[in-house]
Amino acid sequence: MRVLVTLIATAMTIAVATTAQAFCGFYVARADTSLFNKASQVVLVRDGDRTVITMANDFEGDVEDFAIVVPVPTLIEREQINVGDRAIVQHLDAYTAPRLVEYHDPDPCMRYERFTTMEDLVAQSAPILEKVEKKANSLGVTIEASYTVGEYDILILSAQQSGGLIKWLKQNDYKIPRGAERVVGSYLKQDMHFFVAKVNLEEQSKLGYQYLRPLQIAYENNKFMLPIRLGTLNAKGKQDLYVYALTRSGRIETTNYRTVKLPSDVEVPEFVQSEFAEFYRDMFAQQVSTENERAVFLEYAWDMGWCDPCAADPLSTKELRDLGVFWIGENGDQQINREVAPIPAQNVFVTRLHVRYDSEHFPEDLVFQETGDRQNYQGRYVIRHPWKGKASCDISNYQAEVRTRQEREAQQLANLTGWDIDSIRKKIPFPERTTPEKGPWWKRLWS
Amino acid sequence: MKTSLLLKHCMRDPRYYQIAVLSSLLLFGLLILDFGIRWQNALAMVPTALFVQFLGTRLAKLPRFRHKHVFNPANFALVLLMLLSDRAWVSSGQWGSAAIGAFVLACLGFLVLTRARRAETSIVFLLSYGISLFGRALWLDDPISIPLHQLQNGALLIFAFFMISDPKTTPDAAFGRCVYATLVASVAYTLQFIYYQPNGPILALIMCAPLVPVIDALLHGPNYRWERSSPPASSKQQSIPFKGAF
Repeated sequence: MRVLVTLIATAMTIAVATTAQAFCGFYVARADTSLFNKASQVVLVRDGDRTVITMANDFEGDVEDFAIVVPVPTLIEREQINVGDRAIVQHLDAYTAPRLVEYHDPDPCMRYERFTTMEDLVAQSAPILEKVEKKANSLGVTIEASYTVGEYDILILSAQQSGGLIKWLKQNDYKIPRGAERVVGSYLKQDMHFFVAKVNLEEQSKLGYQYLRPLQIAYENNKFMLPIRLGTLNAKGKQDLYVYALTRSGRIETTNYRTVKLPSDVEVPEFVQSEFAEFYRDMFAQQVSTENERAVFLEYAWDMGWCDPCAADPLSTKELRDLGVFWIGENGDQQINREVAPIPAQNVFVTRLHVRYDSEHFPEDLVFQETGDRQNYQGRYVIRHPWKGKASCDISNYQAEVRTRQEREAQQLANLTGWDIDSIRKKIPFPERTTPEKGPWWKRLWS
Repeated sequence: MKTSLLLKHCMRDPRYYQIAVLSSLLLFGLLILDFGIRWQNALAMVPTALFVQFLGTRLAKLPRFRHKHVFNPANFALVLLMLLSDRAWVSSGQWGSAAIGAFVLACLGFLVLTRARRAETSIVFLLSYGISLFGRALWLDDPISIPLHQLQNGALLIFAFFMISDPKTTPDAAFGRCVYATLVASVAYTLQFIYYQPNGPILALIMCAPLVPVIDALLHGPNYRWERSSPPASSKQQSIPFKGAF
């Protein structure tokens, strides 16, 4: 067996936006901009020992302040780095996002069913100078390679001591969070290198992009994990990480933490349609708390060939290949024009994991394994609109059913989110009672 | 009355206790921890597990040395299943750390029932593995919470108390069992943290099993017999095939 080196990790950055997606490492800024990690989005393509990692970010701020430091398992060559397309990650996010499904009750007076469905996705939606090199050597830091890829200047660093590396980064204006030296030291002892990237302003203005595109790294290593320890260093409280895995055989799960499916296929009151973001946020927080803040949550697991209902179209062969799915469309012969042909089976299984972590509850990096489980799962929440048309018959029985259903939905919502049941009931338009409520006789005795 | 009968059975043969604990764990996993197994699958699991266990037991018992089978049947069946099917895997993280207290109690219960006979295999394995984890953390200057988290793993405890502890596939001599447990722990650590393979302990056990005859040849000890104190000696009931589960 081959000696295996350590894995990859991810980077860091910050994000300020509400639907922040940043890297899962720690943030190092070149200026004193006050930034913090909120969430990260990482796409992991994995088959055998081959991995392609895509780190997307929605960094908002002066790109001059942007810098990332990523522990990587081996020396990364120029051809192993790519700058990807942000829209593809956004598409993957939309395709796998938890979804709200809406059904309308048919006219209770009609003998046939009128049935419409609607899917409503609430998407969360420089070149290195010689003198720098000399200085680095004096600190025990080796600049093993330097590349300019797209709008990024990238350095691959190795070091004998974490102290030297930290000192070098500080001297080069990287803002290093407190406690980084210990974690960096641990990764260095595990023979990891460090991938450091910052924005080359000249290249960026030439390319004309107004945002930072995702960085991609391809490597071969049998350690299948994602270092999150660096990410906890400069974070203010807990942060969220989304991992999208594209695999050949089945969904992925973590081997050192519980992977839990979020409650799904639950009927919720109608008003959730306008408060879906709040609903999902609070439901997620409630589930995190139920699992003692130590679980990784499965939000989506599906064969990439289809979806039901579709929050967005499945990714095309080209998009998947751009994300690093190397086992499909090798010669471009599987390129499909979606306008004229349906998406074929792609032999790609997608898993979306969501983890809220901090160093106290997630002391160790996330370690994954690919399973043989191809059961489809999706976070799906259902709204059933009662019939609101003019009744041409006695609908008291139907209204009683609706009231029962709405009460059940209210209780389910309260259980899922921890919201106050009375506040929920106030937002539900219960139909007026036209006949005395059925039930035990004493309920109608004094009312 | 029924409870006392059950206790009597457990005291007579610890394998009853083992079956009770492992079945409870399975139900706990299905009902409380939501292992994501459908009821149809759960029902199908019973005959499948029995078949695999039967096959594993028969195959595992084929290689014999000095009236002992070499491979641990449950371990052999697990590895066989993983090798033969790409739909089988071991979810070692699914127990989580919340139920760790109950796990520890169940494992201690096993020690009490067996009156700690041959318990050194479990204890030495956990000690050696724990020392390796803490040593690694010390070397990497990692916080102590990391090895603690790695040890708070239900699958590791099930392995230590209900799989490697099988007295029929471990060396006869007490010192031999200590050597064997240390060896399995070292190989498990190497697989897990140097070769980055999941399921290090399970793979380590099957890799080290062929060394049991060698250890037995070097260090002699009494061959183990499952203790059956009170029922009549005429009872011909043979070993129960279900020995461990993950």
